[in-house]
Amino acid sequence: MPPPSEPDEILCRRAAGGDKGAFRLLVETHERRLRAFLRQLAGPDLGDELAQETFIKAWQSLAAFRGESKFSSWLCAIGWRLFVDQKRRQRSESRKREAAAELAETVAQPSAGDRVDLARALALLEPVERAALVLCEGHGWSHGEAAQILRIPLGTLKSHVRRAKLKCRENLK
Amino acid sequence: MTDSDDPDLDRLLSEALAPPDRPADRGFVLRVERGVAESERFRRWRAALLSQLAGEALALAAVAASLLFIAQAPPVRDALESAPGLAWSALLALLLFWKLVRGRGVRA
Repeated sequence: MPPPSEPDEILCRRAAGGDKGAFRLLVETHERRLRAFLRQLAGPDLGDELAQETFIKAWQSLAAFRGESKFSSWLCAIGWRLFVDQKRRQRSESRKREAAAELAETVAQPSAGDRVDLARALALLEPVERAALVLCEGHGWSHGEAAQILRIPLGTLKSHVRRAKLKCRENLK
Repeated sequence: MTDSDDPDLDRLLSEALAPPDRPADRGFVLRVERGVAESERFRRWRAALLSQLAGEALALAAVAASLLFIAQAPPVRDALESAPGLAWSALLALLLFWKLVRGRGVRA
């Protein structure tokens, strides 16, 4: 389950006031989950770059964070938007193929045979389907929270999760 | 979290997609801190540049307004009418003075 939000609120307030120590604690708490999410979407190198950019963007926008959602979901939403923007910029078809190949090699640990297959199955999903699956199945977010992070209606999110699982099942056969 | 008729797939997905169980990555935290410091430096530089540009625009507007005001004074207007080249010479002198002042400011 996502980490508790109350200490985050206090740390956010302090960080918004310019306390870099408080922001460091926030980075230490949330980097593991955020990087895991973005690595599943973009591969290890680009995923880490996006995670770093996400934290910098979060630092710059902390004053705008009103605490209406959890800090961790706000962070994931920033990361997702950065990933989508990056994807838009990445037009070349060959680069897309390279990214998919890299992703297939790195999404899951290669030690277990079925995980390598799963990594390939995941790489064949649309990014939004993969994101929905990672958030709901891997990171334990509720459908409502995941829909908020990806900024899509709840029904659409549920369809993405269902379709992603169906595709995975088909590709794993 | 999701309703599914395939518990094996659900288990496989949750195991493969779960975030790794490890302590915070100090190297990554340091990289973020460096990135934040860099973005702060850039923000301060941009703010200083904008404030300098605004100051210079204001100064130029003030100089232009003063010149117009002075040029409308009867003795100056008469002088400018009798020798139109005088206005251009004065403007050129002002421009050179401005460049000189700016050059000193940059070196300092």
